[in-house]
Parts: sequence; C-alpha cells; structure tokens
Amino acid sequence: MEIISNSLAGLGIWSLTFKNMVMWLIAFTLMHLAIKKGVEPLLLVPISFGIFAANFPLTGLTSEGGLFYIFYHYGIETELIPPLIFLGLGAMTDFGPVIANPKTLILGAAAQLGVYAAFFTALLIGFSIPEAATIGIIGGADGPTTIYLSANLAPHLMGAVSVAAYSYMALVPIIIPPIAKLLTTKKERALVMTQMRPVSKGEKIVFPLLASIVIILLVPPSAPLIAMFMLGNLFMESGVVERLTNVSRNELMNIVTILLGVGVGSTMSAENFLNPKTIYIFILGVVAFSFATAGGVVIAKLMNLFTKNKVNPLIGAAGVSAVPMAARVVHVIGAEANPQNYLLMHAMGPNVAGVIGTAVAAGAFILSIK
Amino acid sequence: MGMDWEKALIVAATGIVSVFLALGILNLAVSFSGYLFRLAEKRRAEKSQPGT
Repeated sequence: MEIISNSLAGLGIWSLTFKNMVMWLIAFTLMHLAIKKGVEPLLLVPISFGIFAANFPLTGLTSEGGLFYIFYHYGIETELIPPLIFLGLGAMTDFGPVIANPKTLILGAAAQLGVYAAFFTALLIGFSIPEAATIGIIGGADGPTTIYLSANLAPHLMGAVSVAAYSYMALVPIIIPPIAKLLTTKKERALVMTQMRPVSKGEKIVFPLLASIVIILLVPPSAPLIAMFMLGNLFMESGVVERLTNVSRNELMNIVTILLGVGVGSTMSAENFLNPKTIYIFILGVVAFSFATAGGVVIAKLMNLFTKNKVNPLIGAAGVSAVPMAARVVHVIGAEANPQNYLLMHAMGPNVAGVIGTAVAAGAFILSIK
Repeated sequence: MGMDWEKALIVAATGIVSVFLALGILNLAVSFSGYLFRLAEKRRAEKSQPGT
C-alpha cells in the first residue's frame, strides 16, 4: 500500500501548476505559428517543443545534469552553438553583391541604428544596461547573434529575446513596407540601379580574409561569430573543400539548430517568462525593427547626396538582416513603384552586410559592458 | 537604483562608432582590393592581346 502511495505521490500531475499550463499554451501558440503559418519553423518548432517539455514538473530536464541543461550549458552558455550556426550561414552566403558594391556595407551599418534606438528605449523603461543591450540586438534581426549576446550579458532574457527576434524576423514583410514607403517618394522607390559588375573568384576568396582582419582587429569580441562566418564562406568560395562546405551548411547546421532551439526553449520556465519584462521585450522588438528599417533608408538617402552612382534608398531597409526575406520585401516594394525595377541582388548587399553589422554591434556591446 | 546614463552613453557611442568604423573601413578595403583585381585583370587582358 505504501509503495502504491509513494508511486502516486511521485506522479508529475500533482505538481503541475497553472503557470506550467500557461507556458504550454505559449508553446502550442508558437507551434501553431511555425507549423500552420510557416513562421521560422526550423527554429520555432524545436524552441516551442523545448518550452513544452521544460514545463513538465519533476522531469529534471532543466536541472543540473538534465538533458536540456546539458544542451543549454554546453551548447549555449559556453557560446559554442551560435558560432557554429554562423559557420553554416557563411557556407551559404554569397558576398558577391557586397563586393560588387561595397558601399552597401555602410547600409548594413546604418540598419544597426535600430539596435541603439531599442537600447535607449529599454533603458528608459528600466532595464539594466546588459539587459537593454540584449534587447536592442533584436533589431539586428539575427537569431544566433541575439542568443550569443544574451548568453554573454543577460541569460535570463534569452528565451524572450530569442522568440521575439525570430517572430519579428517572420514579420519583416509587415514591418518594412510602411516604414520604407513613409520615408521615400515614389520617384525614389522607382530608381533603377546600374547593373552590378561581375565579381571574380579571387575577390570572393579574399573577402572573408579581409573582413576578418578589419572587423576582428577593431572589435575582438566579435571574433567567434565573424571568424566562423568567414571560415564557412571561405569553405564555399575556395571550391576545394566541398565536403566541409556541405557538412557546414547541411548536417552540422541542422544538428546545432536542434540543440539551439531546444536549449533556448528550455530556458523559458514560467518564472523566467511570465512577467511584465517579456511584454516590454516584444514591444521593444518592434521599436528595434522599425528604427533599423528607418536607419537604413535614411542613410541610403544621405549617401545619395554625396555619391555619383545613386542607390535606390529602399535597399537600405534590407540592412535589417533577416536574410533573404528583407531583400525580397525590398524588391517587391521597388517593383510596385516601377515594374522594370529589379532590386533583389542590389538589396542582398545591405542584407548580408547587416549580418556582419549585427555581429559587430554584439561584439561592441560585449567589449564595453562585460 | 539609478541608471548610470554616462555608462549607457559610452556603450552606445562605442557601439555606433565601432559598427560604422568597422564596416566603413571594410568598404574601403573591399573597394581597394576590387580595384587591384580589376587592374590585374586589365593587365592580363592587355598582355594576352597579340601584337601589342
């Protein structure tokens, strides 16, 4: 009888709380968005399942030594996984548009203004400096960088900022158009850019080396992300390590994505997530994305005042990384203003430059805060 | 606890300057390397032209 009674007492159902069930509801909502609406499914499916599983009572999954704890501790807390994701991203990224039109790098930098707008807004709301930096980086629209910075500066916010970053990335088609249209005239949007010059293989091989030298020397804490990003790119562009290129952008990327998603989801306990800070983070995410879009467009217009070869200011909006969705959205807005306008490849320049810019912004935060 | 606004400003200024400086210098470096590649290409093309 005692054995039965002890066994019954050990059932998880007695320890299930209302907060656990609220977290399940959040997990199911994210699953619905990922599965039914196609919102960043590669990340949101493992993240949402991580939230779901981590909120079962008495499992020990997130306690020291538990499976999810191991994913989080060895994969994320040690900052291992985000750079590995960057390796895969590098092996998938074509820097040709940036090399053909290097001034698009400035547009990638301009879009980081959203990071700092959200940083200051978060400070005004009452977040601490490390927390505000972690929230601000959502504006970079780069999930792995957001997670990397959060692991460094504010691990308790990781779940909320990651979900905000990935959710808003999926909302790029809704966020960019009104802001880009508000800040440009139809004539500006209709501007056809001159065709990009062809880029040689040699230039593409030199780019990752040049980028590593310049960026890592200036902002050393960005090295884990930038070095792996550029290594992946060198794998691809060298053309001599096809196996490494393929494993970086396929198998390795997929494996670490599972560990990253589940690890991040597992940090979203009711105590961490169900508080007013989470709501503020989601509001600040919109601020970050909006200012990032505006920053890119305004700086593109400014650049046009001083340069001979004008750029369509819309491509500045693609500096909000979210590769390649932001570039596609920009292309569509440009084509609406002028059906002869083909902005996609031009917009890919600021788009991939934005990824570099966000990694630099994250490195700069670590440099000045940690 | 009051916010350390001076530190916040330094953090933001460091960040903005770092981002624009890093990508600005990279812009110059990529432009220069592109110029060198195009120059080398042009020279190669000139050399390969018969009778010149």
